[in-house]
Amino acid sequence: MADSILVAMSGGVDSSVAAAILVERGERVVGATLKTFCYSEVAGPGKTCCGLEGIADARSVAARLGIPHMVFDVEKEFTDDVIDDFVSEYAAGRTPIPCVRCNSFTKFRDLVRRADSLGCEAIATGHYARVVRHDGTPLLARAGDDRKDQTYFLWGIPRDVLTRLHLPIGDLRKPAVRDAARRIGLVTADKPESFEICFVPDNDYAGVLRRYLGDDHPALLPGSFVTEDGEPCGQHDGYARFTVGQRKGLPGGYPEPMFVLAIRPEPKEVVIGPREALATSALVAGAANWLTDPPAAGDELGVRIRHGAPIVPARLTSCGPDGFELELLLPQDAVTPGQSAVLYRDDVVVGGGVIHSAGPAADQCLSPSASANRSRASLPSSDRSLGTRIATRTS
Amino acid sequence: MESMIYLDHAASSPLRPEVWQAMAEVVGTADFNAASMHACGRGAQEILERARSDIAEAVGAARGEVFFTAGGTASDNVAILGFARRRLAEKPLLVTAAIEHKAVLEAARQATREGADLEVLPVDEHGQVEPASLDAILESAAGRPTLVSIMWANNEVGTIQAIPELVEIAHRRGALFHSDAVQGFGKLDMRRDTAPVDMLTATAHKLGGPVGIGVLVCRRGTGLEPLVFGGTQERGVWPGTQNPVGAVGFARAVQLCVAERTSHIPHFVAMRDSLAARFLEEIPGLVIHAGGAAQRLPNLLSVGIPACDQATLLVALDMAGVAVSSGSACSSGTASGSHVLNAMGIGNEEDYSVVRLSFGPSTSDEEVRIAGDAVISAVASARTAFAN
Repeated sequence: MADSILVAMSGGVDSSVAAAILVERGERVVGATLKTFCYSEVAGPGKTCCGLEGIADARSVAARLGIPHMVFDVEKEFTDDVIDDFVSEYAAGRTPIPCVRCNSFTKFRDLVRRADSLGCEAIATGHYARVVRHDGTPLLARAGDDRKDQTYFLWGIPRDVLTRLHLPIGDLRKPAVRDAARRIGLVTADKPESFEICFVPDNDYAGVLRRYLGDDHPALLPGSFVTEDGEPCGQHDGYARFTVGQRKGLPGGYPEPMFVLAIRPEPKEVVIGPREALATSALVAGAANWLTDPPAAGDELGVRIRHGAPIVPARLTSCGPDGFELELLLPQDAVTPGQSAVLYRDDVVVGGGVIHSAGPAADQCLSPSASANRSRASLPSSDRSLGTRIATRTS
Repeated sequence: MESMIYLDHAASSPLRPEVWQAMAEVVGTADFNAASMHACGRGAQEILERARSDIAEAVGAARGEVFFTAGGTASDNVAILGFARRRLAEKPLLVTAAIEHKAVLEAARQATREGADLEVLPVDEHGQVEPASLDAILESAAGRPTLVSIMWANNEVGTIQAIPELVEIAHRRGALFHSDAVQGFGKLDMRRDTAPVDMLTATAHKLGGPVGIGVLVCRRGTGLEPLVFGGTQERGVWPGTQNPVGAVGFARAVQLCVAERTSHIPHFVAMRDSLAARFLEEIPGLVIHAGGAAQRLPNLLSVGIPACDQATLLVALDMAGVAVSSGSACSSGTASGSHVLNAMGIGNEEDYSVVRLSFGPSTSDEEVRIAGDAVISAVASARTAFAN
């Protein structure tokens, strides 16, 4: 198996075609599906995992391609590293991206671990992103189809994975992927695209939070809307239902549309204000990960602060082992704590971090004492000082 | 597929050439609706009834006591829920064992939601039900309608229960006895005069017959409530258009299995035991599941390997061209999920791997030897993986 490639197959069309392309290239391919959680909420004898549609589809595709397929049960790891983080981030008033967390801590790590144990030299996934080589050094670059580009979710993967990572559909556009699936006769060819977080059925994330936090958690209890001046202006039904930049569900009666500016968990306040108050020209990010040699303060890079948002120019004002501060050369709306700030140099992903706050930070937050190795982390901390928060985020 | 060594007959045993030949021979005469009044329907029915008769003979039952169903799970559900639902007013009691197939355990749990009571007997480390524990439960339940359901042979580890003794206890205490005999059917002697069970579940595809047809052999007067409605086929026990071609395949498979018993069983036992001895010698820490049971399925060997990664092991064997399983057929491939091993007090530690190898009529010594090599080398690599 020394020359074979372990392909993560979710049962969706993208990873199905990724596997198919490698098979057509004549590679020795092994398919693997990570079983990350159980749809069934009823623990006990009735609990069934192997009936999950994604697993069945991945198996069918593997059979069609004539490759072995295996299912890894990573439910425990996924719960510890992704779901727990998702829940505690919302509880702390932030808006996490579980896919970033999964790619950074579960998916690629588990895939590499299995590849090693099977003696597979490389791994592959069906992400829309590319691995390019510059003077022999592998770099992560944006997809050929910019609208499908998924590098925003991939900045946190361990850098050394790049040396053995294949992204077979990174140059393709979605219609071409579907065409390929139909041509090969894959059962997944016309599967509708999923826009949901995989463990949040029907997009009911408040339901997931209720299940994990309990109905009486402060994040789900009523609290006040307040203006920027701290003036109460209505009641909300739980700050975890809001995200910075959100417009829906806010009190009316203002001459202009109002947006969520900030979430303050301690007093259970959701701060609202007009659009112009959303704009910021700086941000602080923690939990940094670099996929090239780390940049230096003063470097001008592109940054993307939300999935699907344009890449905008920025200047690094400081850069430590665990975090960085950016000056946004064009002010951006709704810099949202918990989302990612991904840095690009042209097409190449330099690295990224988890947005801690808009605006400049106190000095101590990037001090070496705040550094800790990246491993499974779970927030929250009741101590909300900046330094502690960033350290917690990355410990 | 041709190059695979298939040692997963306990999951499904491929259709035997003699079986599909028998099925092919009745195409044109049996592939009609057996309930139709015309000659074609009558012809199909005649063939269906002959198949029923052949299967009845294998267990010493009357033809009218064999009901065709969709398979083992359907038969288990009809037996358990059919018994309970007929007697709900009298607060029926179901007694079963912790190592049963989910078709029995989950049907019994459903019956408790409908008003029945359930007692689940523990098993010892070899998966055996202690007959005295059954006696004790039944003694305290005297006077209530009671069904005991204990599987003949376990699908994951191969333990054979002391069915004659358990049936005797049940009957002495006035209870009825059902056995899920899916695994041992055809291979073990299940004639009524040895073990007079009241109901017995069997399915064709475990012995080289077609998937999708099973039987519930049910003594007259047992009294079962149907689970599905809309016809009177199988005397209302399992309504729906019958499957005469499948029944012919099932009957042929049973006949072959019974006829070959004296030659195949010693061969299975020899292959099983020499493989077990080899594993014990070459794989440190390996455990033979149910190794100390009074009786075990001759064609099944289940081993436990501590400190070994299950998924890695199974895929390495898959890639080596050896088809085995970790227990029951579940693609999630986790050993810790086995309720059977849990009931036996085994395999609770992390990275406890299970390999179940099960033989069929075509299995050769050479295949078992190659599979043995593959398991030994796969364990070595999966253990390295675990160590990392």
